Amino acid sequence: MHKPKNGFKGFVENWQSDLKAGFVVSLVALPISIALSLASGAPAIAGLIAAVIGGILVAHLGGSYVTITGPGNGLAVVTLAAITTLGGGDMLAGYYMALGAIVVSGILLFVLGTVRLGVLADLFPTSAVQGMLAAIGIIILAKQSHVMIGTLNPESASPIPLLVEFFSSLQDLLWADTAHLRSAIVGIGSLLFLIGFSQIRARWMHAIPAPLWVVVLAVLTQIIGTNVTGESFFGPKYLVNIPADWMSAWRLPDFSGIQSGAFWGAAISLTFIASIESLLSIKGMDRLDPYKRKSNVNKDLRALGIATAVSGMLGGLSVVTVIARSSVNVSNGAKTRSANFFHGALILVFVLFLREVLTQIPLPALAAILVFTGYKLLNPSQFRKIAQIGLEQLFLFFFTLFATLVYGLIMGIVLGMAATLVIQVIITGSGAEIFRYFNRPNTLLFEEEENKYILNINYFANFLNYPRLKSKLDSIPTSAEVIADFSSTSFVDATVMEHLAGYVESFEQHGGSLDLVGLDTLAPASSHPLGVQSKSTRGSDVFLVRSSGTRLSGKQEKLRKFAGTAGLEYTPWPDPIWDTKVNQFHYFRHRRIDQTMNLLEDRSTRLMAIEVVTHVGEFTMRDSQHLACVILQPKGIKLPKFTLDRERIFERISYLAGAQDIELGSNVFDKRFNLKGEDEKAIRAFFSPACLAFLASRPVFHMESNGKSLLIFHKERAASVSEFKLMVNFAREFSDRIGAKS
Amino acid sequence: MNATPKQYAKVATALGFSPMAKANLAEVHRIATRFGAQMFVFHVGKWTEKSQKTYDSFLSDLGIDPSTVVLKSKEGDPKVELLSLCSENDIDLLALGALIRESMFKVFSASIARDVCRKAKVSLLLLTHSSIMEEPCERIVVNGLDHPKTPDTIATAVWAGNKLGSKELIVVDELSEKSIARADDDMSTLQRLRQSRQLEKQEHNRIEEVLDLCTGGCTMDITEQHVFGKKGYTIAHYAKAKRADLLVVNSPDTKLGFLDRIFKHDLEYILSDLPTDVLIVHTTKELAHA
Repeated sequence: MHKPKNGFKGFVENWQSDLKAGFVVSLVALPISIALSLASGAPAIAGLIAAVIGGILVAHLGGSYVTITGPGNGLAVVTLAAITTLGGGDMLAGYYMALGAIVVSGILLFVLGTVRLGVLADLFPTSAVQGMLAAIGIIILAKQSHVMIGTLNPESASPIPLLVEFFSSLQDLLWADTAHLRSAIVGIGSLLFLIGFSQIRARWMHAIPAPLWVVVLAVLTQIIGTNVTGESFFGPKYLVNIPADWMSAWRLPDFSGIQSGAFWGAAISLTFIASIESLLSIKGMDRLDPYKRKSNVNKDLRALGIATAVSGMLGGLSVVTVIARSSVNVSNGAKTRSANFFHGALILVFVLFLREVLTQIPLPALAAILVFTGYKLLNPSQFRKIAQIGLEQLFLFFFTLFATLVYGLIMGIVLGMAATLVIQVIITGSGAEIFRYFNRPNTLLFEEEENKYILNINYFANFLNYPRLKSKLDSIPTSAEVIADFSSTSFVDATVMEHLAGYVESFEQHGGSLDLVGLDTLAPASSHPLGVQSKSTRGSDVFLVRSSGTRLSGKQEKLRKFAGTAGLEYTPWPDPIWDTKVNQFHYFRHRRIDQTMNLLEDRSTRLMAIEVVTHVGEFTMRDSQHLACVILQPKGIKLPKFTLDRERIFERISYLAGAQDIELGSNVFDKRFNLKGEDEKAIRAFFSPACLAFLASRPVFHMESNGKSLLIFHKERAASVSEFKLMVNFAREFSDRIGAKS
Repeated sequence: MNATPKQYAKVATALGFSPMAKANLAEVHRIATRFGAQMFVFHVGKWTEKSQKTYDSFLSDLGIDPSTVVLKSKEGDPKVELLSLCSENDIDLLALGALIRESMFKVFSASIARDVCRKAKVSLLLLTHSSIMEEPCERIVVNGLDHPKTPDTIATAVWAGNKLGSKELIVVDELSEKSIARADDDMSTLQRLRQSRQLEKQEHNRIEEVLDLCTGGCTMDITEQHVFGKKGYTIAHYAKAKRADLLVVNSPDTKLGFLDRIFKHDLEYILSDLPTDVLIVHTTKELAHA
């Protein structure tokens, strides 16, 4: 696919599609930006400034492609808290002091981007982040539900009392004046419209985004009502206020609080939530990008920092990357950053020329949009999905959610992280290991062959050491073949599993592959593919787990599918009798077999592919080793005893002490392989020319024959599904060659 | 530049009466025999009749002729006395049975290892899986760092590998990720790839030169592997992932102190979680680096 060019060339090439997308996004962004100013407790113009500055600056300086920047949901909550605490009751004074904090947080964001802390967002456990976002949804919903029914200033400040107070606000409606009643009706009507919008069949309705419908209908009500009744239909109290002289009313942010803890607390919270919200959105958009470009998150953070500082100076809110508007952007055909620019520029045009119209928007309609947004952030349908990953994840989700509601955003996520760690220590029993190794490197990446990488992970992988794994994964071109080997890992947590799933998808989209191997021996704590995987939850009694029918890992599912298409019988946890079948080869003589798994069997040709976990020695706790191999018992063929290999793996086995190197006289073959055996004559007869030509044309496989059956394997480690296929195909063809001759 | 292999002629081990003592004796005796070296057994502590009896039974069980082994015993602080025994007897290789993973209660051998690295002019072999039966040493991993000590270390690995009948030698070149671009987006990932290929090529040429110096008469297959990552840790993890039987590394340049254990680097990564048997080659070229 042709990727759009960057810079000016890209602009010339794509400006039409970007203008169209930018226009649609600006229609969505206009009401939401005003609504978010309202939710932040700031003047209506603040959110619009953030959208304009964000669009224009980040489009030039940013490192992502199809994202939209402007005021954000999470930030509204933090800004409101900042304005309330800094102003000490005076919202306007608080607003100017909060602007100071916003400028400082812009500088901090720029610093974060400069020191490449773009990995920050990946450091948090998934469930905790989800819990925090849901809490933000509740906080917005709690406050705005009052405004929606016409109670502009509820008494409570914190979210839980606010929710309780909603019922008394409902009661207030009983003796409310007409303006109040009209507001409540338009608010509730707007909410019902938003909820029902997706059910509306008429396609022309969907040409305009739902929030814009709400605003347009509400403004029409106001204008028509005003004409009919002869006075302002909702009354000025319930309308958006953008003073005519908003530009000349500008003044510098108030930095007088810069020495106080509260100021820095606000600045740091703003920075933290802005970076998390932006980084999560950028990551989400990379998956939605039709051209699969990879964003430079650090560059984007720097751009957001500059935009935030400038926006704050001009009286606007923090600028963050927002996922909802960004996905509208993509679905309307945006191709480059210019779409973001057009969105910002168009909002500027609207503000300059449509100020009169904007001041006719009733606040309850905007509050309804926010209530709906808050509900979508809470997204109760996700509870089920989280519970499927693991009940402990659901617990962490709610724990973080309530901690955030009670103690605020920063404390909430910190407590969520702490709880995640405690839960991991409990379910894996690896507390000492976590403590000992979290700060140590645990990943090894090397290129085994050209464009084929091995990524080996030691100790454990959880959210604490995930940045290391991430930096290794990021350094591999996504068109490469990668095998991530977890066989020496004791547990992998849900956060890492989720990130890995994202990488698997990304590699596949770019023509590469990422295979996760060695996870089969880790028992999942739940039946979900992203659940925590741990050695300890499997317990000491391997057999118990084998027979209890635990779920299959991703690789095992793929093997099962492959078995179906290749006419093989698949058994994920074969009977322990297989241990002895495998054991008959001398290769395994110095090893103790712990477990066999992933048996693929073809009864007709007597071919078995199987994965074996072994360890060496008794006392010496040498780490266990995985090996995927094929066992072949050809019918009606006399097999001589021999070993054939290149890496001299079989020389470890001293049983063939009397055996000699055998040269078969074929140059290519003798150079590549090391053939050993006692009965030279029989071996020469066995390796027919057809057989030699076949072996010489294939990747090197190692073979051992014990006189009855053949052991064939490729690499001395766990194999990916494609390697399994390769091995089985090789064994089948080889079996045909030796069969044809006799 | 030149490379001289350490040809170990005097191999010593420390005798402690642990469950692994017998296996250690067997292993060290085999190594000494393969190297054609004189074997010394050092004991620190009171040498009682019972010790003598156990020691004799070990030797007779293992079929070792007591006259071929020099036994020395001293009383005092194990670390200090072991080192003084080494210098008194001109020992050039000290082989110690080590525990795979260091823990609070098992620091003894690892701390001796550190002290030896720091003070003694002797190479050190840490044995992680001694056994009474011989297990062949097939695959050796050796560091290929750009460092004056490296030629000697590789030469020693070749010498030892030949003596031990090893089949494969992998020279692992640990490269710092700092010198190449970070993979931030598509462009920088490509740039990184180009830079790393170029760096690998340079390193390949350098290693070829070193190998020319020190691989005369080598009977092993030699391969090279370039790995980006943290120095010390990376080679240890590689040796573990590749199931190497012996890891050969340079001796450290700086003193290893208590702080090094907390802020781990280079050799500390290897010592704190031994991937396999480790040979730390002591050479006299340390000052050349400065």
